[in-house]
Amino acid sequence: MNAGVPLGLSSGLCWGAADFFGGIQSRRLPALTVAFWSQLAGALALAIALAIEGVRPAATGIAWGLAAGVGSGCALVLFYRSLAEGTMSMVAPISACGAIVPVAAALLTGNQPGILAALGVLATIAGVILVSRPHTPARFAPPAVEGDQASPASSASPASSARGGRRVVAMALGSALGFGLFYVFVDAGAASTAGTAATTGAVAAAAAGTAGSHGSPLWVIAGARMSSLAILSMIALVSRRSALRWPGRRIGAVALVGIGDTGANLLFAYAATTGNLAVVGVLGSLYPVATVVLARWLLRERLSGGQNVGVVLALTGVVLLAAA
Amino acid sequence: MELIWLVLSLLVLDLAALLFAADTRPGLQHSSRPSLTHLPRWSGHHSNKG
Repeated sequence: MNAGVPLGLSSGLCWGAADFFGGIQSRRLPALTVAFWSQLAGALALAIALAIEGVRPAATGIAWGLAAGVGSGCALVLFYRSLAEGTMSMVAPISACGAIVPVAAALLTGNQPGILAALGVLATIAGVILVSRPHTPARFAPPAVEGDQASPASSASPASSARGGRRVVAMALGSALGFGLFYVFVDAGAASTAGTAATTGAVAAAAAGTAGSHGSPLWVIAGARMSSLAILSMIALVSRRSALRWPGRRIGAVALVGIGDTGANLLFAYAATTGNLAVVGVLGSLYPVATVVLARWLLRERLSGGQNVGVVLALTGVVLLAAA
Repeated sequence: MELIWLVLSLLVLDLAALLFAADTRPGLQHSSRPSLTHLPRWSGHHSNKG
């Protein structure tokens, strides 16, 4: 059997698991702290992988990666924050809807997305609407974030829960936009370095970025890591310096989240170079499924019937977009 | 190819460690159901603090 299929599935599993555990850590630490230290640990792991591979850096790939990292850095903070404050089974599929952004970018640049992409957009939007219906607001347990004064109140009334639910959905949509921009820039970097046509599928775009850069598949991601760390530092400086404080005894778990994320990137890059990119892209796009399953298993999250339909619709849409 | 097997093995260990260290105590659980449905009848819906 081609190694691309199990490796693609493994990458999706690792991405989703890293997201889940990043959200768990964000319930104890500020989301910015988790994002920064996990990204730093991931960057170190990536540096080791690059040193072992011994590939030369590609300036164009790094440059597009730097642009992509601005989107992913902002997205990561919003994503972890929404995972910490909201229901993970809702947040993960909504955040995965960033797959729509490359389709919108393709439309704006005069490209006509195919029928699969159009169906994917419709299914994704319908899924998000169903998942985030306001009459079933998330109940807000106290996240007990250490040192984070902006945490929601511990005893939320139904009205404030509804407001908090809308805030979580807004943050998840914001993270989707950031991740979507990340896909667009990674795709542009891949097209510029490999001379290939731009794709519209989000995960396929990420795959192209990691697999199509002439012998330096990971330098695009390395560039993204560098700029996302810079962006996270800037956000910390503008908001509160203490947000980047040392996570203490939680550094191990936070670092493992970043290493898991980087490991998933490596698996995906390798899967994309050894297997069928369309198949691997679809398998990798299943990452929210792992987050949802872990949230149901470990946190015993339960959604209403309509929200479950929304989760399935949103995930179907993401898969269609990845296959487009 | 050796590198990818090394990565795969490390990821399995990574996820196992995360699972082992996961802090999923009841206070951190979230639910989509309205909080009032979880209250005992005698609480009178005035407070959800135990």
